[in-house]
Amino acid sequence: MKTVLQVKDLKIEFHTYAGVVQAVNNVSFDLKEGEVIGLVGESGCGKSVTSGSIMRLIPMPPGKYANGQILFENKDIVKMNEAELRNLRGNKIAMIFQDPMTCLNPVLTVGTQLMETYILHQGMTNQQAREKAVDMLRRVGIPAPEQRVQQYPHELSGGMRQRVMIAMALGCNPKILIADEPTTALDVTIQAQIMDLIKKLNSELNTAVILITHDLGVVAGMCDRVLVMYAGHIVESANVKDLYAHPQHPYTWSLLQSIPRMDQAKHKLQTIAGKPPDLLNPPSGCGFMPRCKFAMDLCNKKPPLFTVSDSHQAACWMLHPECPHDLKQLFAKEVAK
Amino acid sequence: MTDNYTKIDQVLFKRLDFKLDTSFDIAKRRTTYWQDAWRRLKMNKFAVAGLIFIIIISIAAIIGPWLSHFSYSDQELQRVNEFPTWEHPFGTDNLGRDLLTRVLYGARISMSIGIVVSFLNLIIGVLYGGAAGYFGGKLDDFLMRLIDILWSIPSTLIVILLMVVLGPGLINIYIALVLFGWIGIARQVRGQILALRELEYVMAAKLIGAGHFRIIMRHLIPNALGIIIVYMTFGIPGAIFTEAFLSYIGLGVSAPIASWGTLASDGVSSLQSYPFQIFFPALAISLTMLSFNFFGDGLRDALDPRMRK
Amino acid sequence: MFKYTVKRFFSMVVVIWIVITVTFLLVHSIPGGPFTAEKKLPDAVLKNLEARYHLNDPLYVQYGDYLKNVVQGDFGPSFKYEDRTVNQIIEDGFPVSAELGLLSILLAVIVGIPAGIVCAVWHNKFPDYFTMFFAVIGVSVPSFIVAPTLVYFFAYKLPFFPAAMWEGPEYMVLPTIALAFGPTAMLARLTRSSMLEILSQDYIRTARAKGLSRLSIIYKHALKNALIPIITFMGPMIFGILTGSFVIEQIFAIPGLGRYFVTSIFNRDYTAILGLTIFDGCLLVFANFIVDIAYGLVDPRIKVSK
Repeated sequence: MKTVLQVKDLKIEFHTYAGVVQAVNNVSFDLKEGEVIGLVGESGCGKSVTSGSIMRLIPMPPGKYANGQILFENKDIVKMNEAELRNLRGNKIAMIFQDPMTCLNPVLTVGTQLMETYILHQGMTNQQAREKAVDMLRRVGIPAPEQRVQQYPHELSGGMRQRVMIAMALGCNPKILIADEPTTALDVTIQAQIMDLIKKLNSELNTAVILITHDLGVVAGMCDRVLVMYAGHIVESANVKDLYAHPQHPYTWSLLQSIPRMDQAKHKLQTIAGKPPDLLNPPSGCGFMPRCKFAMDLCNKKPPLFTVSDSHQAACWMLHPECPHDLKQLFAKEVAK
Repeated sequence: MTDNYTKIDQVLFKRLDFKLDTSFDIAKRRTTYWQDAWRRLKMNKFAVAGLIFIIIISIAAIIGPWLSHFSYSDQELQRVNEFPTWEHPFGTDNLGRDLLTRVLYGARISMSIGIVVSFLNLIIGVLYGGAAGYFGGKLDDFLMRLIDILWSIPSTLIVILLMVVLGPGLINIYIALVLFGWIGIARQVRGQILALRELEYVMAAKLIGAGHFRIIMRHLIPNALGIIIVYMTFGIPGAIFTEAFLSYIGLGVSAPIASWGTLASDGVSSLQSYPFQIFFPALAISLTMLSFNFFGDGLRDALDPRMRK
Repeated sequence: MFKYTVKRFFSMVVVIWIVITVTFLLVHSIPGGPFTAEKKLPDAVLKNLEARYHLNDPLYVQYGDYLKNVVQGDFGPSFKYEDRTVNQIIEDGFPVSAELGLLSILLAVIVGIPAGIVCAVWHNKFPDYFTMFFAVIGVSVPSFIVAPTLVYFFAYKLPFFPAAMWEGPEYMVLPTIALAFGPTAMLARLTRSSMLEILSQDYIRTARAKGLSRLSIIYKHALKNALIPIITFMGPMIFGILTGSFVIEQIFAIPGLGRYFVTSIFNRDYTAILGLTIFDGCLLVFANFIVDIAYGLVDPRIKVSK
């Protein structure tokens, strides 16, 4: 499969009065055609900044690309000019956001907002764009689309609005869809519908998807591959099955622990004690160390990404070949529980 | 990064013996809301300059008239309309009165009108808006309907009419300016209280049996303090402005007392021959207004929680 | 929208009634009634007044009569100008004031709104600082200082424009600028903050993510939203222009309604004050009504919520 997007050593800083916030540090990953990858982590771990930076939507200043490349069709998005960016945004890479309530312009009709993308990127006439808008609304499962295009966003429910956002994003057959917590603001029943819709369109249109979420449950049903982020770093990257079966990073394991489980009668919900580190003064070592049951002296030094298998990497010193066997076993035993 | 692992001393693999802790909680240096606001205010040079000028003009208004050799009403009819000299740095007016003294005295009148009026407005507005917002329900409906009506009445016209009826004078100006002046702050306080009332910590305070008074004093007022302070910094120049306007159309303080508005009004008539007579009062009003506006803008930006990061 | 308009209309009528009543009562609370003066009135005027107002009737009858007259558009006589009624004063003065006022509103809108947009687009850059510095001066310096300053420099020192009167286009330049000065600055500040608020909204990010150009984001997505609070400012702005015209017309000796009003105040011409206050008051309340309707038309959300 072809690689559509390559992120290499991405480092993003925010220059604030209090100092430099290192929001994203040394992040690298590839995205293949038609693949769905999940970007998982707590709030503030840098997942939204990473996804925003792919579209160059991070306000600069205070944001700054300190290092790295984002390669799309052999071009570095970081170095693109305005015109190239406009051709990219909404056309080749599209994005949907967390809160559909605030993401649509309240004073323009749904139709206008859909049509402008098609007119802009596909050179359609007004008439064609209108037909396309109706067609797209039907495809994302909105009943009576002919009437809906004339309505304003406030006349639609939250789930409907997110469907409109998806119709807007996918109208130009983008290579990549970035979905930044697309269901967080919606009801649980609607969440599943929206996820199904994204999955369906992903397979129909062969659009690669980057799904940002803090919900590992959603990831299990949707994604091919998962990137776990912590304090601006990718700490583990694996296929969904491997990640759930054999997490290699204690943070991933803690995250999995904290999924509420319905299959066990008396299951106490696990939480992760402590807070992520302050990215203004990032720790020199592993960011998870203070919250890690398995922390060792060595963790004061930043761990590199260790390769577990071809498709599985994790940044934890326990994966070092010289790490004492008993510690590895202790972790394995905990995981197996 | 695959196979060439660096050799690592086995000692470093020793497990750390510490409790899972929350030591990072205290790592983040927390500044209070007011420290933060003060720091942001200090960064705004215009706001600081405004504050300094306000302090200077206030001191001048308090002690200036004492230091002067002249009184605001002493006429020297053989020395009328004198251009600025060392003896009369701002010149004299058409009755031979020292303009510097009159401008300083005018500062006293104008500043005191600004402070008294906006303070009265504040008290009424906070009580009214606070009551409407805190007790809500029917009382709120009634009070707000009243405010809606008052708001849609062209207040300046009624104020002018009221001044015509009451006649010139300092007390009458207070009454006229307070009559409609409190509405704006009442609305803001009500909105703020209404929003705060729904917050969890206020609910919590209620649940543990805190009385109305305690909730209002401890929880609501401190949180509404930001808009109250900003209101004061815009309310003072607002009152000065309105008084100057009233004085200008002949409805302000009565002669020989002078406010900046009456001085400017007097000066306009001799603009062509004695431009300095309007220049100094105009400068005083303009700089004071400018200072309050710069300071108020800076303060509003500094206190805006949305700016907080 | 129809219901909304009807509701607004009725509240306008109520407010106008309150204005008439309050002004009537205020003027009648003057010791000795509104028709006494420091000087002895000419007999002819006194007769005229008595005939018109039935001064010996109880107050509520006088009030009823006055209300009836006002509803019919009759504001009564002036008692300083024996031969003129308030209606004649309005007929003479209103066209002039309206011309001055509309010119000033126009100037404020075509300068203030674009200036505010420029500031928001170049937020925290030179054009922003530059414009905002002047805008603060604009809101700080009262019109009765702006006007003499303009006269001093552009009529006396550099005789470009006439210093007074209202007799042709060149007479209009200085008063219009002086009157529009404050509102322009206010409008620029308001547009700027409104635009900044809108530009930080999520839907602007959506528009950026769609690949729209900066210009079309500002025109198509931001401006319409940003204009909504600006429309609500139009009411207070018209109000400010009207009260500002009292001073400006005085300084420039423009024979408009504002100057008559101030003259009536200096003369303690109570009937004229009463009539002009009610006329101006109704005008403002009506302007507010129009602004409210315009607001309802621009904001689609209002159709359902109200």
